[in-house]
This record gives sequence, structure tokens and C-alpha cells, in this order.
Amino acid sequence: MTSLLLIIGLFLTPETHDVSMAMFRLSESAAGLQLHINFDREDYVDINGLQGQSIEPLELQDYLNRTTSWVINGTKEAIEVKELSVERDHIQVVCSFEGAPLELKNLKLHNEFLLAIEDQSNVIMLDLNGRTRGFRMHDDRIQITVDYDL
Amino acid sequence: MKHTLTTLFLFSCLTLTFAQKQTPNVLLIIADDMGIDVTEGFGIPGDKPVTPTLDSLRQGGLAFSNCWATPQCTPSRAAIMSGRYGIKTGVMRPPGNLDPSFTSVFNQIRNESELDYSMAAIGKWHIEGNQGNLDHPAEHGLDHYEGVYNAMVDDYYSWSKVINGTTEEVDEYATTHFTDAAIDWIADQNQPWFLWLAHVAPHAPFHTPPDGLYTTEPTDNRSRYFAMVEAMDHEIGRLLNSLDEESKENTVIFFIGDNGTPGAISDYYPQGHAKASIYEGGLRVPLIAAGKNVDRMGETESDLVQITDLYATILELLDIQLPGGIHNSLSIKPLLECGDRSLREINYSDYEDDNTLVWATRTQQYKLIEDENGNQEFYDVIADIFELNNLIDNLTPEQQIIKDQLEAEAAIIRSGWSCNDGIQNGDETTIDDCDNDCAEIDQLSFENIGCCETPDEPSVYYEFIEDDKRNIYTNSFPSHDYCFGATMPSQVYRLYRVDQVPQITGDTTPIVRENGRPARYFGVAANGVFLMPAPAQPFIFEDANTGEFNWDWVFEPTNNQGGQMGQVSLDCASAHANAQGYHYHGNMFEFVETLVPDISTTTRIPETPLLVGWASDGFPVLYRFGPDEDGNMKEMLPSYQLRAGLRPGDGISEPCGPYTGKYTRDYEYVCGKGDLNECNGIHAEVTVTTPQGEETFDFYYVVTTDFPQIPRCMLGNVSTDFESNSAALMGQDLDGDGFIGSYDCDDNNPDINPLAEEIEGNDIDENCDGELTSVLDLTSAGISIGPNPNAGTFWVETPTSNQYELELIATSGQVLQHLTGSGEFIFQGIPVGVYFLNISSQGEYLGTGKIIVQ
Repeated sequence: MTSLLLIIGLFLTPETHDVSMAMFRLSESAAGLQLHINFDREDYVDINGLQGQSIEPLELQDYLNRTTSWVINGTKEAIEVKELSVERDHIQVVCSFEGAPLELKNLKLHNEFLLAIEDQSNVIMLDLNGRTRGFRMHDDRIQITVDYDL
Repeated sequence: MKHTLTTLFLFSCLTLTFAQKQTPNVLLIIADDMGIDVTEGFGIPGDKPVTPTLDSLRQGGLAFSNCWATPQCTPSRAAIMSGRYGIKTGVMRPPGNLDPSFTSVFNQIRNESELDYSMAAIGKWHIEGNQGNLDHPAEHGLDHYEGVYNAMVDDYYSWSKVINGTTEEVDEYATTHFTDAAIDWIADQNQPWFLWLAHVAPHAPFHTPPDGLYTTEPTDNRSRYFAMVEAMDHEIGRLLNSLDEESKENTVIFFIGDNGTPGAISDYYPQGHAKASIYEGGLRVPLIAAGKNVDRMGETESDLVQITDLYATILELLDIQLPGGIHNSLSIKPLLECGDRSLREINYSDYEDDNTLVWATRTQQYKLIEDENGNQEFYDVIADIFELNNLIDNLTPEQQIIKDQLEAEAAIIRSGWSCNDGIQNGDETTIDDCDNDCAEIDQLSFENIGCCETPDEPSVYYEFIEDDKRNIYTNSFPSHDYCFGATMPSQVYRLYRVDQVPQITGDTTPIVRENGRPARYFGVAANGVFLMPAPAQPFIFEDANTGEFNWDWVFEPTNNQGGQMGQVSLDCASAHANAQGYHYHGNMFEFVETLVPDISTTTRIPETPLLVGWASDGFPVLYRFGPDEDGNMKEMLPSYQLRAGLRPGDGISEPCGPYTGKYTRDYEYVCGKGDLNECNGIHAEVTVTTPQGEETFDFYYVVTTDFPQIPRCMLGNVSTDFESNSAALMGQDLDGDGFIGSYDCDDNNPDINPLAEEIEGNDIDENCDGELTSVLDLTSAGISIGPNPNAGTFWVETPTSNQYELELIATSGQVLQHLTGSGEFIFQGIPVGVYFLNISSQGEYLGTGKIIVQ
């Protein structure tokens, strides 16, 4: 029996459970701040009326920038979708913020992503400045402010 | 595509039979009027009776040097019997009647234990109030009683005995008579038993025991008292020696004095400070625990212990787990195994002394004595064990604080229930949760979302050994009915490699990281589903103001089940799926029920363990039951309980209120409370059946009914294959049999894979083991065939010693030729094609040869 294993790294460590939830993970990379998003494909299709259509990166980028706002160190930064993949029922995207600073001291986030879905939660994971912090955003909490004492 | 469920390897447990549960027998021996000053080994200087049996128990068990009883026998016996202080039962001096409405330890066992214990009391009773109700022992739950009903005998050699409601005269030395009765009663038992053996010795009158039972000829009351202690010790030894080996191994023994040594005998304590006083000489008694479940040997425990504590301790030893304890009785079972913590911060005792109620409270160092007339005394009992220097009028600020604490504690105990005793009692909903002003009320939910689907994909668990590793290939798909929330279970191909011969490393590896987030799976179940009890987002406490998760407080999934918002959608197997795959969060009911029906609910102990998976360090994981250190199968109980008091949080950044179990951190490990260690494992030998045959391990983990259900840490060398972020195997399963191409020798045929059944003699390697079974197999029967392949003619040579029957069968099933005989057979004129040649002899099938005509 061959023991040659074909292994892929998971695109985004999926710690989500079976609730309506999107995961946003903001982390540092050599190229700057990187945002990984994982969310339910069907929810996205339903809200945007995309039944039977493929998921297009630019449309998704537009939707992200309409439903979220990222103010980093006092400057609003636009999201650019760099990679998009669909794995089973989930969409996974990698985004960046063009021109954003390498070091995040302050984040003001407005997030209404998929909130038209009943009981939708958006979990924000910040892997920044040597620690991981998590927040849950939902209908009753569409804005958070996070400060780092650097 | 229609799939056929792949057959898992067969567990030996599928034919489980059941055994008698093995909780211990209990032997409680009570000495009458024997304080620590006359007992060897309790730190008091001076001459002592010669007590080799008690010495042996102490050296082989645990001695408690700070055990308080009450100053006299009746309230002490009532305290053991009821688990309550005298102020609660009204029995504060002799004679006192312990009303059966106070549930006795015996009735409690009858009410709570899953076993039918035989229970008897032999010896002194004296909690009936001298009212003549000879049914009193039976009313307290005893199957059998015989002994001295009231305070004492007038003559140790001539006395009246009550036996199960009738009275008879006895002219035998009382200690010997009780011992014989105990030996006879135990010998008659064929089920677990609990014997309360209350010697009337060495209580007055001080009568010299029979020759041979003591060492030194007595000359006065003190030496006669010593001789009576020695005789009792001798007879206890005779009783213990009478036990058969199985009983010796499976009996826990307690020896305790009921109050201090009489003042007429004690030459240690000051006058007026012995029996019948609330001073140490009246209260402090020897307590020794030995035998089954007593792992600390030859140690002395100085923690504060109360005679009431025997009640809860015995219940927990009988697997009746309690929230700390019950009534005024704190289980000291944890101390029998572990000495890692102090259980009682404050001890209490009370008494009615010449129509005046007196009571005492103490910390390790200080003791406050009070009476109903407002008198108070305060002593440093470490520096002043004789209690001669009353500090009440000269308290230091530190002493004043402690005195106030003791006074307040006594007032609470006497008027209600302490909120500082580590016991859930009174109106408490959890242990000591008084004064809760938290606005939030935890909503716990235990109802799973049930089963809603039958598996329509194969469930693959394929185990093989390679390089001393147990390799487990799986597609992570459940082998049983399941349900789902937002994510449907799907096949996730994984390979786990664990040590085939695992070792304890000395390190503890938790399943979560230091920051509380999931780090690794605990293990993999025997159907390939992984075991991951820890929750992930969003089931984390959120700061009410910022929404930030506080990972110190994660939801305990099995206590937050359901289909509503904020609940974890666990199905009928306490499982659900996420992107990593279907996984168990707790007791995997539906899975184990497919292995052994009713195993998740039965109270009967199976004779063999049920292997349900492998931990990530390679040790086996059993379900509920397993062998203890002595090889007795029993239900293994975890050693966790809800924390005492209130959570420290403000309700904003951390949760507040009682520790209800909503959060994993609400539980704490209490070493020695149950059978299992912090990782829900036990060092005990177990043999399980695996695809390799029988394998034996000296450690195993258990999935328990109660928290933590699935263990939360590992003690061996943990495989990195169980890391939460480890990748799944990538590959295609073209034939849908659950095996991707790299693990399937024919990925176009679902009937061919490593778990397929090998069909003999068809020249197809169905089970991918690299070996073909073909005509050659018949050579073991002395049969040869040739040539093969052939042009239509071939021969078969058989031994001549037997008659043979040969059938040549086409692939359509048609029998072309049928020959009988022995020796050489010739088949001729066979058309081109593939045929099967079945050969049997004397009604026994020998094999099939595949014949190719070309």
C-alpha cells in the first residue's frame, strides 16, 4: 500500500460551526495586511440574486466594499479581492488593502455583510501585533473599534 | 450512486455480556471513647496500647490527625448516620433519637445506588433515645442489626443483645461476640456489603478482656482500658484476616473513635478537657482509611475533617457522586487518593453540655468556642493544644478577623447552611452560590436536534500498522444516523498515525491552546469520525460592550445544545459537521448504540470493555466502562465537578453568576473525586480487540456520561496528524467506496478496496493486500490442476484416500460437468472462456479453482 499522501493546506482554518456565520481574518503578511473571508455560498447567492450564475471576484469586491468599511489608523481603506475559490458550500476569498500601513494601531470596522440573512453573525479575527483577538458582529453590533497599545 | 456501507472491523464488544458492578464493600469500625491521645500515630506523646492491626491499617492507608467528632457518642453516631450536625437533627447529647426522617446513610444508599447493597450494623446503636423501638435500625435502612442497643454493657461477659427486633442474653466477651457476628454476616454475603461495626469497647466498665487478646496484665482502670483497646485491635485483625482475598482487595475500611478519651483514662489533656467537653480532648478522634480506593499509604493528613464527612465519603465511594457533599457532610474521597488541596477551611461541632448548647468552630490554627449564653473562648490550637490560654480578651487584629469569621460561620451553620463549606446544601443551586446578584441567568439546554438522516455514503475506518505506527485511514463520515445544521456531513479523507505502543510522557497536552482556542482533536472514533469536544466561534463569551470574544469562557457544547440561536446544533450522536468534517463533541450516543444496543443507558456492567476509538497519543478510548487497577469492570467516573461560589466576572467582560456548567471553565478537576484523572484516563491494564488481534495497554481514556464526556487532554506522545489545522488528504474516490485512489488498488470498482471481503479462488485481490487466492490454494489439500490456462483440456489430480466431487461451472452459473471419484480427472472439450472448478470431499467444500480456456 502506498503511503504517498496528497495534502493540501486549508485555505482558511475553518473553525466555524453550523450557524449562519462569515469569518473575517485580518492578518499581517509581507505584502501588508491580508484579509481572508470565508462565508456561505448559498447565502451570498440568495442575497445578491445570483442563482445559476458564477461568483465573480469584482462583484464580490463591490459587495464587500458596499457592506463593510475598514478605517485603519484613521484612513478608510478599500478592499481588493485577490483570490477567490469555492469549496463545497463555502466561498473563500483573499483580499488586501491597497496602500494600507503594515502596522495596524487602530481599526474602526463597519460591517453589514450578509446581515439580511436571519441570525447572521460576522466573526472578526484579528491576528495582529502578536496576538489573536475575536469579535462577533451582528444586527445589533455593526460597528467595532479596536485599539492596540503598541 | 448507490453506496454500500463499508463494514468496519468487528469489535469484541459486539457480544458483550454483563457483570456485577464492582464498587467496594465498606467496613466502618467505630471505637467507643477512644481519642487520639491513646492511639498510636496521631502525634500525641505518651504510652499507648499495643495495636498492630490499627498500626498496619495506618501504615497501609491514611490517618487523619484533625478529625473532629462530637464530645459524646450519641451525637457522633447520629452525625455519621445522618451527615448532619447535631443542631440539624436535635441529637446533641445522649440519649438522643435520630428520627428516620433524617435520611440515614443506609437509606440514602438504598435510594441512590444502582446496586443492591447488603447492609448491617453490629454492636452499639444508641441513637434511638432509649425509647424501646427495636425497629429503629430497620427504619434506618438496615437489613440486619445485632448488638448493644443503648450506651454500654454493665458486664462485658454478660449482657443483653438486640437482634433484629428481639432481645437475647449473651455471656461472651462483647468485643469477641461482635467480631464473630461480623465474620459470620460477611461470610453470608454474595453481593456488595456495608457493615457498620460499632464496638462498645473500650467504653466503661473497664473489664479485663479474655487471655490472649492483650499484652500486659492490667492493674488499674487505665491499663484495663489499654487491654480493652488491644483486645479490640486483636479482634479487628481477626475479622480482617477472615476476609477472602477478593473481599480484602475490594473493601474500604474506616476506623474512627466516636469522641475523646474519658477524663478518668486520659493523662494527656487537662482536667475537664477530655470526653464530654468541647475542647480538643473531647472532639479530636482518630480516623484511619485503608483498603480499596485509598491510594495514599502511610501518610498523615492534617486537613480539617468532620465525623459527618463519612456519610458523603461513603456515598461517593459507592459511585454516588455529589456536589462536594450533602447536608453537612463533605466528601473526603479526594483526600484518599490525592493530597493536593485543602477541602475544609472551617470545621464545626456542637454539643449540649449540662443543658447548655455549646459549639466550636476552627481554622487550621484558631478555634472559637461559644455557648448559648454568649460566652466565648478563643485558642491557638497549634501552639496551645491544651487550650489553657484563652485569647478572647487579647486578640490581635488578625485574630479578631478570624474570630469574627468563625463566629459568623457558626451563626450561619446553626441557622441555615454554610456558603463556605464546599457543599451544595440548603437553597443553593450549585455549590456555595449564595448572594448572587448577577443580572444574567444562564440558559442551559441539553436536548440535541436528533437524527434526521441515514448515511448514504460509506463510512470508512481502515486501520493498519506501518513503522510501529497505528495508521488510521478514514473518510470521516458517520457510520450511523445523524443530523445537520448549516453544514451537511461530507467525506473528508484523513490519515491519522499514532504510536502502536504508546507511552506516558510526563507531559500533559491539552486540546486547546494557551489562549483557549482549539488546538487539536482528542482522537478518532472507531468509525473514523474525529473527537473534538472543544467549541469554536461563535460559542464564546462576548464582551457586552465591544463584542470581543473572551476565550477564557467558552461554551460547553453539550450543555448548550439545540437548534436555536446561541445553541450548538449537536445531533443524536452529540456531533455536527463543519468544514473540517463531522465530529463528536460529547457522548456519541447514536454511534455506540449501533455497536451495543443500550450501552449508553445501561446500569449493568459489561464484562468486556467497548473500544470506541483511539486518542491522539495512541492510547485506546473506551466507552463508559473499563477495568480498574484490580481488573474489576466498573463504570468509570470522571473527577470533575462544578466550581464552588460565584464566577468572578462583572457580566460585561466576563460572565457572572453561579458556575452552572454553561462554560467549560465552570468545571474544575478534583483529584480523587472519581476514578479518572484530569484527562479522563486511568492507569489500568486493558485488553482490546483490534484488526491486529488482541492488544493490551496499561492506560486508557474513557468517554464518560458526565463532564467532560470526551477527554480534554492527553498524556502520551501526541500525533501532529490531529492538529486542528492539519490538512485533509486530497484525492478522488472514483468508485465511491470511501477510498481515494492512493489507498485503493482499484478505484473503478467499489467492491475492491482495503476493507473489501476477499473472495477465495477468483484471482482477484479484492482486499488490496497484494495477494491472490487462486487454484494454488487447493494444493494444501493435495490437489493439483494443469495446465491452466489451457486449450480445452486439463487434468485434476487428487489424493486417492478420499472420494472427491468436482463441478465445472460457467460464469453464468451453469454446471458444465460434474465428476466424482479420486485420483486423476480429465476435463476435455471445454469451450473458450473462464470457468470455476468447485471441489469438495465428503460434503466439505475445499476450494475453487479458476480455469481459463483460451
